Amino acid sequence: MNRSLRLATAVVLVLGLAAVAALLADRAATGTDDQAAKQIGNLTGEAYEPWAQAPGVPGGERNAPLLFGVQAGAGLTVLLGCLWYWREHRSEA
Amino acid sequence: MHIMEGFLPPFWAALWFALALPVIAYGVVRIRRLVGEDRELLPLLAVSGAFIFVLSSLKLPSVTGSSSHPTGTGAGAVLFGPAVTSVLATIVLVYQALFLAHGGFTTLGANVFSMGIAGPAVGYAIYRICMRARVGCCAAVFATAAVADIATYLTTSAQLALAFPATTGGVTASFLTFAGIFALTQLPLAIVEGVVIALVFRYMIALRGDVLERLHVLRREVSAP
Repeated sequence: MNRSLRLATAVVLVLGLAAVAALLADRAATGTDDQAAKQIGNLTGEAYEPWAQAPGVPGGERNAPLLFGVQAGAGLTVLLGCLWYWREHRSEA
Repeated sequence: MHIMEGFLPPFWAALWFALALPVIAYGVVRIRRLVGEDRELLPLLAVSGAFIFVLSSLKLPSVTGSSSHPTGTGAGAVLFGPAVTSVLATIVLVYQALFLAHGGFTTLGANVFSMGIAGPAVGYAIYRICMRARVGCCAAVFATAAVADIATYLTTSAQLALAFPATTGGVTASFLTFAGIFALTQLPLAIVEGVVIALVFRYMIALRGDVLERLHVLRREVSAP
């Protein structure tokens, strides 16, 4: 296994582990989105009421980690698939 | 980073849509043309989209005690430029608005503009400057990805500041407040994003430097064995 392949494998593994960690971690840290939304009221002096509501997470908020996982999983699958494809077809280049 | 559903007043929501739509349309045309000319670009396109899919799903805690996520648009910016990246970002943003209540459809134009157009455009400019200055490819990719990430969040700050100027200090004070929230949290994440994309790029150069050369991503001597 050459050095570049080892590095790329390590990166993909780290990405995968980070995805799992992000999904399993206690999400106590406040998101910057929420902080920014709160600041609107502080800056303008009046609370802003959104004029549209998000459709919500299918099946409820508890499914959000699963759906984020689907997103990360789909991306990782494509990434690994393409790297594998290039490796296999390298000799044809 | 995404501006949430209904949070931009209708005028601003419509304005950002109007600015984003022509770029997305041009991106679609460009994708059709590129893939029509060279089918070997399809995996590169898929990798660019995959980076956005994976990295924008990682909600990570940062030094400020708040959390945010990388954007992953740096790879697309380097390989295909901002127009194509805007199409890839739109796909991810629609998925997140539809299934995750992250971002929204009324704010889709603004979010595509910041994450899919402005960030990658700044990143692309940085990459071209680095190439002209004969900076090493991996260092250039690192700078592109990190700067594209930060530029995305600064654009979001500007979008919010324009829509919600502070009663004291106006748009500038508002921008500084929003940028303070986003930029401090984002800085370490942008560095991590830059390192990750640069390392995968290194491997891509080793595997298919010829394709990257055809896209003018690499100088000929960089990809030569």
